Amino acid sequence: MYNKIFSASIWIAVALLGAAALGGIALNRGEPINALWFITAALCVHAVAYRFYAAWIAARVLAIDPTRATPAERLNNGRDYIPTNRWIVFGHHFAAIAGPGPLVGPTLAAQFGYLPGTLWILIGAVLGGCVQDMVTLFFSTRRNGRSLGQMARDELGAIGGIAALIATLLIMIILIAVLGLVVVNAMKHSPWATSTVAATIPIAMLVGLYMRDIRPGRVLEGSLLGVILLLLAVAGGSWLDHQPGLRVLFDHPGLTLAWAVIAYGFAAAILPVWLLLAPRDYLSTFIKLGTVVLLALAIVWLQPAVKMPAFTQFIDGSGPIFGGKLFPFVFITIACGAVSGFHALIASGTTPKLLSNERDIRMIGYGGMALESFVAIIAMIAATVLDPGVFFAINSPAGVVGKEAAAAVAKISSWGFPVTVEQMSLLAQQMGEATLFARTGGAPSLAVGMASIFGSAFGQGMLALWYHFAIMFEAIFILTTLDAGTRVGRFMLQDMLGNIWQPLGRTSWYPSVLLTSGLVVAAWGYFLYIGVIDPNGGVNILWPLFGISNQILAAIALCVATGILVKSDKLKHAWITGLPLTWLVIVTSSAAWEKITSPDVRIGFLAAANDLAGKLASGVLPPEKAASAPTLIFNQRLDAALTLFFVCLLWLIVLDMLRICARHLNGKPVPPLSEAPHLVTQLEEAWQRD
Amino acid sequence: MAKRLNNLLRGQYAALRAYSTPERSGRSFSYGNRTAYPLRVRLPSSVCLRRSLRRALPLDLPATVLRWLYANWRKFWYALRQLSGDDAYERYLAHHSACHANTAPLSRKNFFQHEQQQKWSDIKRCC
Repeated sequence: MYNKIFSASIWIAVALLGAAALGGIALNRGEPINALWFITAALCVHAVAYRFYAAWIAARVLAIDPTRATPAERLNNGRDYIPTNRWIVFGHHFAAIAGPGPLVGPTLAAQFGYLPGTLWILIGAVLGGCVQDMVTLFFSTRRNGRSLGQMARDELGAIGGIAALIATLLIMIILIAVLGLVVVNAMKHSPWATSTVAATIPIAMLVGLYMRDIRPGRVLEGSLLGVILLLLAVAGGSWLDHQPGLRVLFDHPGLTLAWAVIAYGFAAAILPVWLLLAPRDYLSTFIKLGTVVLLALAIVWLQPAVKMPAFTQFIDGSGPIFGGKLFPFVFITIACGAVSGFHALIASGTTPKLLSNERDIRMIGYGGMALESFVAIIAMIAATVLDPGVFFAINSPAGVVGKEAAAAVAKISSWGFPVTVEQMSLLAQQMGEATLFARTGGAPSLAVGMASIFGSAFGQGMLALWYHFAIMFEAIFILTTLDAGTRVGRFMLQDMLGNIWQPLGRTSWYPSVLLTSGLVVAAWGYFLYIGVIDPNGGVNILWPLFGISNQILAAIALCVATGILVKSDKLKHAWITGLPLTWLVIVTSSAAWEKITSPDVRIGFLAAANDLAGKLASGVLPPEKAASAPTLIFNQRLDAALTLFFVCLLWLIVLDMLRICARHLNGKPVPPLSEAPHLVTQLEEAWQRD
Repeated sequence: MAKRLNNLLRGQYAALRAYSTPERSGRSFSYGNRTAYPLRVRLPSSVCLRRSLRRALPLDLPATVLRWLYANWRKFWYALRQLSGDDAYERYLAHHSACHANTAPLSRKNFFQHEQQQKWSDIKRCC
């Protein structure tokens, strides 16, 4: 009894503290606010949600059964199916789901002010993203670790399965293109950044050779060696930047770098995994976890002030970073930090094959995503501690604010965010860059934010080093996603083509490998090219496209989950996935509608295409722009068609799910539940003994 | 504090592990034709929290944390090896001798190659 009162009072205190922090963030106007409030609000909201909402879902809705043997136990083969300690599974799961998305999305969404993004990161994660990850993990665990596509086919029928497969492949392509664009923009005309990123390739190969031939399987030794070499590469970049003969080798415009990234992607997809992909992944995981922890500690220690206002005037849709109103574009832009469809692929891939007990599902599914959302909050802080004028100067493309520094500064100051040319050139000098104007994509501004936080924590003298470390940190795991994504895209394509002509399906047949890798790379390479040549900065085109596709994948996962809940006679509780699903359908449909039909040339794809076509016909374009105009017009129309296709895919799956649910509720036959039979776990005794 | 974190790390947290059996709690509910027993999901028991607060607060926290780190460095090292896959071969050998003792196990190098090839044929990293 006493314990109960004590525990209840602690939770009431946590809830009140969270509410106070959130209230403080939400109601503050016009004054800088301490970043610690963001951390407090996030921790309290996640803790309360984890303790109550997630526990309720686990016990009442999913009816998690700790006595039931998991696939890891039943199918234990010592390799991919292995019962594993839950902290280890948590580590693997988190390393897999945490990518560059939650860092870049909040940075871009900061153009609306700090409040809309922060609120959506918290609410979206607690009610949508975490629930999606957790239920997907649960359903996959009950189905021997089957993938989302297989579950869609088994539970909803062939239409759902095919739609999920196509959506996954297309999303992968858009994702790789947009991530490639972020890296290209970070390296543009920056010899230091380019040389450091280039150095990660031979370093990864060296580590790969070490782990394969010199000391086979010694992952920690190899990784330690690699991390030391990477830090040396960051410092070496500084030296190279001061060598006039060498620096021209790494000083390139965006288009050249885009071709380099495309060539790299093709090479990475056909090279053996041990040489490049696997060692790079070890390095990126260590660097990523280390940097995120360091950043969180530095924020707690320094408690920097958030200088961005709660809302900016750009909620009306006139934002410089990307066009579009607060609704629906803040939800599309944040994407990964709140709800990420991609996580459903991980939660239905490796993770369910490692779970030793169903009761770990809450911690790994819900807790893993809560931590990811916390990372997104940290990215939001790192973006908003910058002076708003500096933030907009870095992130606004030249097509919006003008090519000349003086013009850009005047334009940004006229928005009410004062910034001067001297301030920007001093900052660029401190960061060891030629200029920081129009460095779009989110990575440079995040790196400046991180460098200023680390700089004030560990000494101002190393700002340039911290900046380039942050760029390297982002680039290395973006390139890992690029490698891994291209390879998975290749496997999926080979799987599909294998149905047409069997030899193409053989993953080790070299002609097929070359052909399918080439097709996948060409697909994302084309979108990367579109982004790089776009005069308004490709982020305006590609990031919303990526956000829409990611949220549609999330909606597909939630469709599968809702369908399963209804088919398991849990209609009463189907709202836990039905509610976020409804919201995602509303958000993605309206965002797609705006992207297709809006008359604003910065939002609507077709409006932009028609505007350019009109200008081309009337001959007002200068000759060099007129030459590239037909390509730009075609690209905008292609983007519009792709968006339309995505939305049709979404509605197809939603309607198919509703049809299945209606049939089930009317007592008509539906595909049966594909749950594996119940077996009592034998692991439990062993656990209790030790 | 130290003990609590220690337990947490070993994944043996009694309060979280305890779930009710029908005999113990008498509560159960059914969905469709299945009966399930609810998890008694609880926060780390308040008794423990109170004790840990009493222990941690009067002492200086950094020293407590350092002592705890020192006392458990072996477990960290083990967790790190397992997380990174550094000990994958040892685990494979253990599994092999338990389940397929009549065949020769793969060499370390071969095992590592197989492992990596298999690992990267699936979606492993996301946005």
